[in-house]
Amino acid sequence: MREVRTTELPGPGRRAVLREPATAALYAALLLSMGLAIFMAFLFAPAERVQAEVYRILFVHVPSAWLAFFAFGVVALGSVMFLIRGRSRWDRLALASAEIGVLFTTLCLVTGSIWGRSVWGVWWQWDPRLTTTLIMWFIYVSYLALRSYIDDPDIRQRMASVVGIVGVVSVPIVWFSVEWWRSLHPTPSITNPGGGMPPEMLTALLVSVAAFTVFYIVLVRQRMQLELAVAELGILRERLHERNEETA
Amino acid sequence: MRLGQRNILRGVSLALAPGERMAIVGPNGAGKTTLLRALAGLLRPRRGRVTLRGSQSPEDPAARGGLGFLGHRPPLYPHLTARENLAFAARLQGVPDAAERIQTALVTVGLSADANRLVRHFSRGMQQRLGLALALLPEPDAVLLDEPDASLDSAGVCDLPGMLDALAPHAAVLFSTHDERVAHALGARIVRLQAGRLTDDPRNKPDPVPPAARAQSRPRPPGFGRAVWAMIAKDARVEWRAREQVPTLLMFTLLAAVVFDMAFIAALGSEVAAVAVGVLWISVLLAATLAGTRLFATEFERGTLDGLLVAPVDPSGIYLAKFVLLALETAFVGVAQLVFLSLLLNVSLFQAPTIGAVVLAAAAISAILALQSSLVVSARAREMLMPLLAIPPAVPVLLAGVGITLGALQVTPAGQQGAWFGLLAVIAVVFLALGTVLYPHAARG
Amino acid sequence: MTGDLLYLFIGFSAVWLGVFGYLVYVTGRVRGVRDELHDLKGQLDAPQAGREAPNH
Repeated sequence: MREVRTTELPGPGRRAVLREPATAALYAALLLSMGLAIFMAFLFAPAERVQAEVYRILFVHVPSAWLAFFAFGVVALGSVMFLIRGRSRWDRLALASAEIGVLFTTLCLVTGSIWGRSVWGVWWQWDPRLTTTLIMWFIYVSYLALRSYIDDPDIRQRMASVVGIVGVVSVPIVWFSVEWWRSLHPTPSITNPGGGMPPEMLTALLVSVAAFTVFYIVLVRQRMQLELAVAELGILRERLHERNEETA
Repeated sequence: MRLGQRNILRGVSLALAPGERMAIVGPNGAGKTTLLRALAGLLRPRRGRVTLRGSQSPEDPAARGGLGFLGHRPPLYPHLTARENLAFAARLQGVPDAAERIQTALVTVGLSADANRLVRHFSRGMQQRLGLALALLPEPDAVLLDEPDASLDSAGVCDLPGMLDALAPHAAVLFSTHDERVAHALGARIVRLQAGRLTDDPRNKPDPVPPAARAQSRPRPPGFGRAVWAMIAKDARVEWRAREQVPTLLMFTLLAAVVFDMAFIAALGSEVAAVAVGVLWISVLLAATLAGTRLFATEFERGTLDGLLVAPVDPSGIYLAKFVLLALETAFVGVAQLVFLSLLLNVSLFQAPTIGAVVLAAAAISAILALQSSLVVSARAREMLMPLLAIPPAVPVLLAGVGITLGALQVTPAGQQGAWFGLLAVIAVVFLALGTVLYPHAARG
Repeated sequence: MTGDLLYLFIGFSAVWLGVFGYLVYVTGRVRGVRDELHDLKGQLDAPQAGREAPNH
């Protein structure tokens, strides 16, 4: 069922990717939205009353958090669709999204930690959101580890799909349990970053989220193309090997 | 048919009538094993179809009832006797008049004198004979044998036609072999498999043998519950004989109690109860992870997982049986740890709410781990991967367990215990449902 | 205040380095794999052309 069509792949060359109209449009959108997001984050949005300038870390922290959760939703979608349809395309989507989700989760944790250090004076709080994000990070790192430990591509795709589904079911359960567990030992909670925000700030944040989402799409496409190329490489090597055997 | 990065089989097409015998001859790596495993439903072909009795797929449990399969390794449990191995297979297949049929099979394959010996003391040849008896036990309509002559002595090879005639006279038999003499001895049509392509031998006689009548009534596959129960009883008996898991886990639990207590010695003065609770749940989690890693691996390494998958039982039954086994082991470890810690740290951990929490948590954790155990069997370094995969989703179980036991010891107010018990129950139910639905996807290679 | 600006700077650079670093890494690998694919296709096509030649 795994069909790899050679024609899907553009030939080698530095600018080959940019010659496709869809890709060129996507990259243009990425540049525009990112430029706008940076402008709004630093110049358009006003300084905050209590935190002054450091709050601007929000404009990378919140998009990272949003994409972390969104990416893992896409992993679950790809996994379910792979188990139903059996097409490798869905598994490639799940893999790409998991890898990028881990990247954004890491960035979310790092920026959150830096922000926390500057606002509360500590690097870590046992806040449900933080703790759940950390455990989610572990779940999807183990998803990637499982993939790299199984050599047979067919088995790998199916086992990974199951882990992808189990992961998305685990996250809300982890969230509830951490929420209750924390009440055993109360610690100050993070103030809601979206609460009572001036409209300019909110607009800047929404633009940032949109720009990072475009970035996510660019990354997923690129990672899926890499996986497709790697799969085709395996098939071509095999074909060459078989031909060499036949001639010998 | 594609497997992995390679085309193993291409354009292979075969049809067998009842009573017909066909030998697949070919060099190593020609794809004989792949073909037979695909026919048995153990591998899913990317393209193409396998049908039994005209229309049914081998992925349908009911269709596998008419199928006898013997791979490279006979699916035998070394800690069961020959008779017990056959009896287990008979229960999974729903063989009528099992005791009589087992006796006939044992006599036919020449093992009646060794029927009550443990299989671990059998030679390779005896194991192969028992494997043949196992494959032919339900008097299958179709028999698939992967190099049945391998590791049989010359007398065994001579007996092979007699065994087939006696135990499955009407069956369509498809087998692979290196040795054309075996194919001739069995009166089989020969087809050659080379580099994934099949060619007919021109010397084949075109007349198929008329099928003989069935010797006994057709087996009726057991109900789902009976099959799950048969697997649990089998595992319990194996564990009773082998004493592989429980004593080791018990030692591990005691060791964890001692080592963790020593590590937290500085905290013991003021917070004994808190330390006891932490040690209890960490050791339960670790013991469950250890036992969970072995859960499917033992069946996988012995080749007996193939035997369970070929049986006419829905594969989710295998997951449920393994879940029950792991839950029992984990609950046992947890309760033992309650006793150890009560004694070592002089706290009153052994009471109804904590025992209840341990049992429910064991169920919840096992529902998660049994599924993941099935996922890591074909992974490299599965011992390393299992904790990484298993512990993060199991964190809520740990937190709920800690919540209940801290309340029971009055370290924290006992108000939330109901919610924690509820959470454990929800986790158990959610993951059991998930495992039952997803395991069949993970099962077949 | 300068300390706060340092945290802001570190936070933004971590995100930009992470995301762009990943994009550059993946793009580089895609290019490498495609070059290798091109070579392999060349190897596969060349001897076949040679074999078909006498038929023409």
